[in-house]
Amino acid sequence: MSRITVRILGEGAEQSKVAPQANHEVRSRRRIVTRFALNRGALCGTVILALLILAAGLAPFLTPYRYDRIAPLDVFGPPSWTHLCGTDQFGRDVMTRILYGGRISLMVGLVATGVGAGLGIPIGLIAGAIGGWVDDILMRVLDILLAFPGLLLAIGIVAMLGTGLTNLMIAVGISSMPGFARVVRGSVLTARENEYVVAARAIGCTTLGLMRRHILPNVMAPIIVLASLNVANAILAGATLSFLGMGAKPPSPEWGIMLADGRDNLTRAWWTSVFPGLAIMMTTMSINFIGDGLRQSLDPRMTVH
Amino acid sequence: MLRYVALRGLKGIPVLLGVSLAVFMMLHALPVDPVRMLAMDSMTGTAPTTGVSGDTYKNLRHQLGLDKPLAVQFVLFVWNAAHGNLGESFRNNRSVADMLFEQLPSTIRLTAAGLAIAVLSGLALGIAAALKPNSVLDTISMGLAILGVSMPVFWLGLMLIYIFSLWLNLVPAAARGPESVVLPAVTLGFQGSAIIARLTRGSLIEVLQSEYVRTAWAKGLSQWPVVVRHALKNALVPVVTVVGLQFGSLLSGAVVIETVFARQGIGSLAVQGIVEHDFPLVQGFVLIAGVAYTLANILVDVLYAALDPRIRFE
Repeated sequence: MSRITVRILGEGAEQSKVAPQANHEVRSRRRIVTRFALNRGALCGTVILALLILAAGLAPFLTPYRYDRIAPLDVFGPPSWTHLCGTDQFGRDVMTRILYGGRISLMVGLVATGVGAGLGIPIGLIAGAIGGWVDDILMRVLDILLAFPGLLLAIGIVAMLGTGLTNLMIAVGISSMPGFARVVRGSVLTARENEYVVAARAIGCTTLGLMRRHILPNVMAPIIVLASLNVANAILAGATLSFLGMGAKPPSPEWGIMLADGRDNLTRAWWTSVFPGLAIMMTTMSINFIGDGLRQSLDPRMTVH
Repeated sequence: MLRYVALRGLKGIPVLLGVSLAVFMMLHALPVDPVRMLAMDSMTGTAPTTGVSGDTYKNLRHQLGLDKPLAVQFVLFVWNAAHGNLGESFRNNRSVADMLFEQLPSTIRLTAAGLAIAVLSGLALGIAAALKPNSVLDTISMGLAILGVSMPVFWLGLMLIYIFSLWLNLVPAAARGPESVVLPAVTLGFQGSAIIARLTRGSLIEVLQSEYVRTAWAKGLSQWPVVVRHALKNALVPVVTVVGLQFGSLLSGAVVIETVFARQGIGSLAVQGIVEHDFPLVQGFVLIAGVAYTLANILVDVLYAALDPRIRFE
């Protein structure tokens, strides 16, 4: 469908008579999808991310090698038809390791974001909806967490919990929690002032019902946008911490670990550091594009810059 | 203005106390007994197989001050920290403060150079992009901005080493003189530069459309005074905030970049501390970073108020 047709259809839909609530919701959802699909960056991002997820998921079928197979005869082989991205210091196929490593990175991104959102959203809802001293205390605690720059907070938590992939995901998740709590609280404060919320309160809605039925749907848009952008940041933070030796442990094909190995072999084998880095960049870039696309399609009033 | 500065400074005190409380509690929230961690083998990170006998354990606890009530311990912690005493390293028999302050100048040189690169190149690129939207420069700045938020900092560092040290042989990889700061600083400043460029561009484009700028043009002023004297002054207000936030990214970036470039500094010291389970060292580093970031944020708020009088009277 060409861009113009969609625009005309969109205008037509806007002019048609106001339909019942359900119909209206379907239409606004469709409009969001259309706006997202028309965003070139978002579409590219979605396609690339889908390919990356497929590649990581189908890794065993895409490559004849194992990610931890040591082949002393193939050490530091440059990129070739048999090893597209070359081999590393143990003769392991770099491409294979990147494919398997994608699973770890995607998991880190999703789990850490889940931890951050799972902790931050309830805190933000409670702070915004109850207000008063509860709000004060929660916000002061967040202020303290925010007094540490994001990655350093994660490093501090890893230092406490101990190194390792699980602790890394918890740490990165906790360090993204204040962001979620703040955004949710802000949206709740705005949503609370809406007349229909005041009306719902007036007819005797309980605080819990009010939050679930009237406020939460209103704060969904910023949460979705923040969560999607956060996945990219969590992947970057996870790779960084693993690079520093605080996350996954060798022989894990985690991308940060591969780059730490690549750094030691930079003089001999550039391919061991170039390709894993490109993989990280492609993943985070595609997710960032999706996040920006979501932001623009969920709320056209929000501008990117 | 003085009143605002005083008020803002006062507001920072509870945050600073909170920061020290958080750092203090780190030790007590450890899943491992700190005494056992002290006795741990630094290489394998495992507790000694022989175990710590009762008396030694008690002595170590006393030595670390862990036998006092929690509140007393906290007051002592803040008191000592305020007097530059951050405890003893678990691994080196040295004062943590000495170790950190010894490495501080190297980190300050790196972050200062990174910040300078970020601000100068960011402003230049942002202004150029704003004056000619959709030009080649504008597209470049947009591309850099996308790279800036998507590229792992440590990978950029590796690529710069490969290209400029190993391939082109321009900067020696193991440089020790003043030139050794160039590649790390460029790596560190890259992301900030991209963010500052985008923000300057957006903010300047907005200001350039305002009426007082049109008046300035109408008076017959040429481009330079209109942009620099009239528009830029207002356009920079939001940029200042981001520079403050960037200071935080620079601090965390320094940790990574010092490791990538095998540079000395408090960041690489902290990484070493984490790997070796040297907990007081990590605590000291986190405390210094948290306090520095909080102070930087206060400074930014004051600057903001100086640039925008409306803030002062709120």
